[in-house]
Amino acid sequence: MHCLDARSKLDAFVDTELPPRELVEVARHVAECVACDASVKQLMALHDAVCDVTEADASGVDLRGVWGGVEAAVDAHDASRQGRQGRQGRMLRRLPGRSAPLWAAGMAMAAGVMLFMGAGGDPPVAPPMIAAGPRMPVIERYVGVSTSIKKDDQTGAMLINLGSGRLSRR
Amino acid sequence: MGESDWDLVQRARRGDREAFRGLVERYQRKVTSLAIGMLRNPDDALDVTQEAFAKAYQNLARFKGDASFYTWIYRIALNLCIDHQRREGRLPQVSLDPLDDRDDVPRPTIRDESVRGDPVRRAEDAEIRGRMRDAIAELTPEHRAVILLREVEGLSYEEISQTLDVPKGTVMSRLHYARRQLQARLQELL
Repeated sequence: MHCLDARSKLDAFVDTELPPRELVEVARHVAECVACDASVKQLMALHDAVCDVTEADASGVDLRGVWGGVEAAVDAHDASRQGRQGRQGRMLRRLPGRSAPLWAAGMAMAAGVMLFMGAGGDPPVAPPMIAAGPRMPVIERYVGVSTSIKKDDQTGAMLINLGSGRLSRR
Repeated sequence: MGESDWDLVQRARRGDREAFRGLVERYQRKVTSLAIGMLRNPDDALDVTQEAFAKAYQNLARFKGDASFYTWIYRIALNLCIDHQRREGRLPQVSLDPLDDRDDVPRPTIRDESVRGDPVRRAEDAEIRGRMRDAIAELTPEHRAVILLREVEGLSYEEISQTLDVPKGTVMSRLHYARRQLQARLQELL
């Protein structure tokens, strides 16, 4: 792989977003190319610096009051929703007797349409979730040129063995 | 292992307040950290965090589950951050020019181990952090968001694309641009 090709892929390389074959090709190039190796190290240093400063700023923040504030908003929302439902109920009760069949027929028709469209069926199936939450993939080490890829059974991380060292995700 | 986000969402939709509290406690630190990264002000960030979760609760019925809960809550929080900055009139001006206040005095670098280990150089370490903060703050909100979601929250390109509702190619180009901007501004530190 030439420098020009490798350079266009270095962001995706450090983010481990390349397909395995390309990941290995770029890793081989980076292991042999001083300039690309320096660029990768710079990208990793930038990652560390952004994390460092953001985590330092966030570490002193007291989060104990967050739920209290959210709960107050949730209470207000629920109260307003119940108020609306109460008003709607009172309006329905106030409808004159002869109007009742009209709105009842409308509701029945709407229910029929919903059933026809499947809206009244089973609740949606839970989508596949990413179990571990946000990930932090950063290439940490790369040494040598003889490569092989394997998946870590415990963490699910992709490990690329580059001979004397390894390229891993954390 | 705890309940999945989806299970908690389903329970919260049925009115289970504790389930929603579980979601808040699971993600409040990450959302606050993202908001601090965007706003650089812990008080504003806490306000945004609370508002984001309150909005999420109000719109739980609209959460379809085709994306993760955390990409959804990040999206709400990011939109609130951008709104907040617009209200405050604090959106940065972007320039491609590197920092122009350089001098020839050697400065400590982020990769210099002595900076991290030597207490005598804490002031320099603080300087590095200060310059890092400034450089991040000078990015546009869109570029700052993509950097924070990638570098701090560790989201994949696909997840960032879902969070920001932009194509994956846009995520890649914004990330590339934001990194080049930061590198240009922090050239002698990296």
